[in-house]
Amino acid sequence: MKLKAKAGQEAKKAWTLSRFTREFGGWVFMLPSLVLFAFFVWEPMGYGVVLSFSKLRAFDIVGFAGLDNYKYVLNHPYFQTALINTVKYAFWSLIIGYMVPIIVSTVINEVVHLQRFFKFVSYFPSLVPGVAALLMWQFLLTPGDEGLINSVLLEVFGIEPLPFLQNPSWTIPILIIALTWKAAGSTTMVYLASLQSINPELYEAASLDGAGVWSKIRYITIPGIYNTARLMLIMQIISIFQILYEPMVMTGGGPSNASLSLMFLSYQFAFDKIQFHYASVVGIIVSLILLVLTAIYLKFVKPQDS
Amino acid sequence: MKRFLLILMAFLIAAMLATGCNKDASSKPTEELDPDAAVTIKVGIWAKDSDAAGLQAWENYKNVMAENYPNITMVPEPYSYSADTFIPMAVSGTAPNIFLCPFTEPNRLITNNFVADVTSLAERYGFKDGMVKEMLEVGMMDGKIYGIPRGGYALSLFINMDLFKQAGLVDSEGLPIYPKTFDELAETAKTIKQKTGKSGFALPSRDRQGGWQFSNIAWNFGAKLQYQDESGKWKNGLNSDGAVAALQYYKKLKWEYDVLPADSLINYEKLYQLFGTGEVGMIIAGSDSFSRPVSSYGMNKDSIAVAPIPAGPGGQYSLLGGNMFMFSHNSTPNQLEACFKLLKVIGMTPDVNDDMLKSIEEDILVRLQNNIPVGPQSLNVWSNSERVNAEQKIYDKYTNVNMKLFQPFYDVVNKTLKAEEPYYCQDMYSALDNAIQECLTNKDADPKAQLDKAAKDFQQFLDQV
Amino acid sequence: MKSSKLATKTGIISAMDLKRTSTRVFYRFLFALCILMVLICLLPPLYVMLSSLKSVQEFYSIPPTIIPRSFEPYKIIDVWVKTNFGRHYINSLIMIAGCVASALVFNGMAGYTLAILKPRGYKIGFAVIMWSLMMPTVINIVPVMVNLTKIGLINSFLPLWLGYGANAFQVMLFKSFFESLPVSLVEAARIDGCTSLKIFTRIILPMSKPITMVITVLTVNSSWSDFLMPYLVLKDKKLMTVMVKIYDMANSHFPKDYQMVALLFAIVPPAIIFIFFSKYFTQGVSIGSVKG
Repeated sequence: MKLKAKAGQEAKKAWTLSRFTREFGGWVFMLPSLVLFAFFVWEPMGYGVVLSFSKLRAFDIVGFAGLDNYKYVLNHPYFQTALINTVKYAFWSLIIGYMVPIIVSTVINEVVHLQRFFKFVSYFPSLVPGVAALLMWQFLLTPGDEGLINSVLLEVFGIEPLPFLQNPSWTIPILIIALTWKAAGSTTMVYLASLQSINPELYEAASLDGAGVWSKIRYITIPGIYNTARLMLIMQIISIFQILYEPMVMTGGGPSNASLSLMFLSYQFAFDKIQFHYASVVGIIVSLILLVLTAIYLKFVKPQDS
Repeated sequence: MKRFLLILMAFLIAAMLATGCNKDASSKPTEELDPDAAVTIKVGIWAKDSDAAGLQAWENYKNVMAENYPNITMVPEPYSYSADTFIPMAVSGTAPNIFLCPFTEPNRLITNNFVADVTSLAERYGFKDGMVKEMLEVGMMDGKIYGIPRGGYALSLFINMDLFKQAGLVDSEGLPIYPKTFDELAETAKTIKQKTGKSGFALPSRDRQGGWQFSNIAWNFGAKLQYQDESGKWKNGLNSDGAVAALQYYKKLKWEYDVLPADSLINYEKLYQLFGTGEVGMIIAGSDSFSRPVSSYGMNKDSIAVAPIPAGPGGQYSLLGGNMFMFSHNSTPNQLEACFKLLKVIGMTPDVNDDMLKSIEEDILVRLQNNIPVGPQSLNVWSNSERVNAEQKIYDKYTNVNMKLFQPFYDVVNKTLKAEEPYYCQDMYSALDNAIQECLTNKDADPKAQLDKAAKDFQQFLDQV
Repeated sequence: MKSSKLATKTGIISAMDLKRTSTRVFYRFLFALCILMVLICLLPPLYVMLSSLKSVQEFYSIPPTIIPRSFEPYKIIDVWVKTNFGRHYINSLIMIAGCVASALVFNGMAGYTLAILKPRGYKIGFAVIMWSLMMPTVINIVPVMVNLTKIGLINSFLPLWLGYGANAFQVMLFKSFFESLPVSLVEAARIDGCTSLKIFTRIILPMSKPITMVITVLTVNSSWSDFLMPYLVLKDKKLMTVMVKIYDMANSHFPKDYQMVALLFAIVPPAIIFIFFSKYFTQGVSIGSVKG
């Protein structure tokens, strides 16, 4: 009891300059970064919020719109489709896009022959300019017997040509494959850095104890990359909800809006229809969804203290 | 957690308040007009770096301008219009003072206050009376003029002469036997597929280009896409009989006659690619874009022929398109005056004079150097016959293709011109795109049901008129 | 040399494990997987880009040809000269140099503050930065352009560089990395009386090689291929970066195969930089400095 009272007294000590420096001084380090964030990210974000509640003529605010803009967007014929599609994107991305870098990085890390070459190769797709990659996919995925994949399938295996992007149920998985092909390299690199920092003595000790490959993976590797994997998971979800480039250039959102994502819808509002307030509304809805998902995530997937 | 959320809210409100001020960095200037004051203009129509011959032409223009108007300084800022780069520039006031954009743009640029009103200048420089009314109207709203048409085109049927020859579809003079109706088009396409193995015809279906072309075809099948009913309210005819018949025709081309390429999700760039590399026999495209297959895809300029768009049961219409000079809305009156003087120097003037003739000639020489077909011209924008003839004379001097291959189109086109529908066209094309894609990728799609959906989706836009 | 590497190998598969045949087979299987990866990641794009040396008509022929019928290597020189590509290379290099410096300094300091310094209220800073990841706006570019015009920073590389110093994802990466460093080191230094700055430069920085390399490579890649901001901000033709130039080529008289050759040029510098830096990935963090 007495101790608690005394602690309370301590907390009410005076605010001296040195205390201020100690408690808040760290912010100085971060100040330049915060200024940049404010200019490039937060101010436009705040402005987007303002826009979502305004009546607009082009980019000039001409009145207050209350919730009208939100009502319009939520009732828009394509909004529901875009929402469902984006969830589908997230689903496929977690199955394909999340696992690939983990597996690839672990495999590369174990192979000593040509390791540097393999590292380069895994990163190579990230270096390929978008335009070139797009052409590549067009060559590969052309339906009918003209596309590269189809002609190989036909001549070598005798399989009928596949429709690929023309089939609405296939578009989203295929776009995820295209996205993973390009983006997995960077994530693989991050995992590789994490794998490198696992203490090799742990593995040695385990081997001496007679642990097999799978045990080592379970008890050393996975805990070792757990924090990275945890971060990457939420990063992946946040980023896939904002997918825009692939649907825009590979399918134009088609066939018949089957690959329309929420952010592509936002883009269409902004640049095709010049309706920035609706574009902002979509952005805010997406961020609210992500906020909820992140909150759930932080509650249930706890960081590991080594 | 609660405290955390409260702080987040406070931050958000603070951010909102901080940004509450208007973002207009490009408010309208209130300068007085002074023709001799020193003025600088950013010229978005300048030739590109890669265009050696064009750069030379612009060097000449620069000299002429400096001689006659020493107070005007021009800053070259060659710009190819695209909505997602133009809008940030327009809002931040960094768009060029004069630029070119397609006919589909002026409507929404004007509505959104991105371009300047040049009515008085257009009157003074003779454009108002000297230009074809339909062309001028594309850049007008409420009687005010915002743009000067540079050249027009109409949708036409492009014919790949190499494939036609291979399929035996040429007559004794070597001229193509081109289809005059849509039924004939299907037949011709089938012949091409049979005799050459290449697709007979290709059409766009995405990026709103599908709907754009489809609207023309629907007209030819008798559809009225936008009309006012007795009470004056605007209604759409996206699911009218004519439109359904047109979409049914598309379906037949794909599934019954099998004359379309395997890839059904294509836009105009792909059409030019297929046409230019000899993978498709016919496409419908704007009559001024025959340089595209030649310069981008290496097509032989003598392998192109242009015919009128085929007629359908509802008539023969040709969708009017073109390019228009427009002016950024933050241009001062002096800058606008300078831009109009520049127009005169590059030959955009209803008067006939030596400078004008010289600049046209230089322009043609540029095209010859780039191996672009010279001869077939954009649709005429001038209503002054003296001007028209003067230009024609120069073209006759330099024509480098067989004009007979293009004649059928020019004979017919002026009788069939029809401008875009009046309202929310981009949204209309979006809705049509979906219907087209569905019918081309799904064998069992029902054109009527698809168009009913498109009509419903689009009506909410017309309801806002 | 390779077999000696195997003999001293540690990790999931250790030298001891390799004595067993089943493990050796498994190792070969992993190697085969890597070869498969090479086929998937390397072959298709190389095929497309080298195809640019075919004639433009053959490039687009349906079906595409695997063994080329035409070969036009002169195009490489032609494109380089006609587009004055060297200048654009230099512009791009200027761009990525500044962007990497900006990213490392600003994002690094932010990550350091959140992970190690943890001043009062740091959780809010973390939340706000994390939140900016979640708030997508495609229209961000418009207010930024308006602001840049207002302060007159058009036609300069500075705003482009600074933009890369506000990357929430990289701040998170830095934070995560710094958090994984042994706390005891920092605490020992603090007890010894080091200032925050000294801790940063003497202890943290030397141990940060892996994360520095990762961030460098990521930034090089994204700034090299950045198109929209450079296009809007660098209005002077002489300042065009490589990607902007390639976009520009698409809108001019250049045939499509010339654009493809330019894309070949575009890949080379980032690839070289990556190969150079990936050497440093193998140097792990010196955990050995903390014993017991």
